[in-house]
Amino acid sequence: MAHADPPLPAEGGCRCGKLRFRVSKPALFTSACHCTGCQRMTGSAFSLTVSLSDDAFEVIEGTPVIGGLHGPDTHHHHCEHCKSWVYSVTDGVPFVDLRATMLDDPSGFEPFIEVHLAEKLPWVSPAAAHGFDKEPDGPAWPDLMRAFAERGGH
Amino acid sequence: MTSPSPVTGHCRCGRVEFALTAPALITSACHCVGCRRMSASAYSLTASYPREALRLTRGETVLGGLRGPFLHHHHCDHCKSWLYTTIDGVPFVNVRSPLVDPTLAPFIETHTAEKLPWVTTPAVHRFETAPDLETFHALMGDYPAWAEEMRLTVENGCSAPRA
Repeated sequence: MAHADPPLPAEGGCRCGKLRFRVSKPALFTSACHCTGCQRMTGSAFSLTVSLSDDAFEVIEGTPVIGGLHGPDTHHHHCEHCKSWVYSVTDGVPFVDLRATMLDDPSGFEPFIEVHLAEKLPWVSPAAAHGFDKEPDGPAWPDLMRAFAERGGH
Repeated sequence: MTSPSPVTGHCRCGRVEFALTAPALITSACHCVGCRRMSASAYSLTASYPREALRLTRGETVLGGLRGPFLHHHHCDHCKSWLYTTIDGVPFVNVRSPLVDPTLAPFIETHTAEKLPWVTTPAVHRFETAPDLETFHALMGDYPAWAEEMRLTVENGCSAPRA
């Protein structure tokens, strides 16, 4: 299936609109996580992520607050008013993990890989091109990121 | 029975816990843009219970989401998890079903007109927006038999068929 990168810059925000952001560079990666922690954070079957280089993401309205695990290394950023989980950052990792459905137009950001399928809800059918019981091994990441960048032959 | 009682659930961090003293009346997935933002996922998942069946057993909730006027989204103030929703004048509480029981698959799906194109669920009744009240009550009558069949399917280790 031909894949067209979504137009940039792209904007989005939380449910109530008090926290808004802008994405200025293409995604490094897209994923869905089925771990039980993400199930509780979302109240749904999985979380959806668009991984961005940290210079590609900018909050343009509002100030996020910390939710989720409250560290020590992972920092879940939410809107203080509507509580939406908008993005996460991890110490020492130069990415921002944006929750894909916060984008005003999330089309084109469907998950390329799915992780923690060992914990998935039993009735959920995986939809991504690559699935992992836990997470890809470290050495697998460069090939996966290359495959993501080249997906669809554009 | 479709669900042993009482069942319990909690938010991501565990500061809010609750118990449910009656079985679910119906389960659903909602694909609307608002639910996608509330959930940070492709859809929200709901198990609806009689309002009086919900009892908080630890902590308190705070309001998030739309903050009324009729719709009240209840969250944990610490981890921000969306636990359940109440609606003025509606005798149900809509609990986020993965907090309660992973086998609670959605029986119906709503707002499919807004659905992301790559998303599927095993729901057997689909609505471009939402069912009217009469249809909804009829679906609640059909739900227990379907839920029992679905529970046996997933407990036997079979993937739910794609609807």
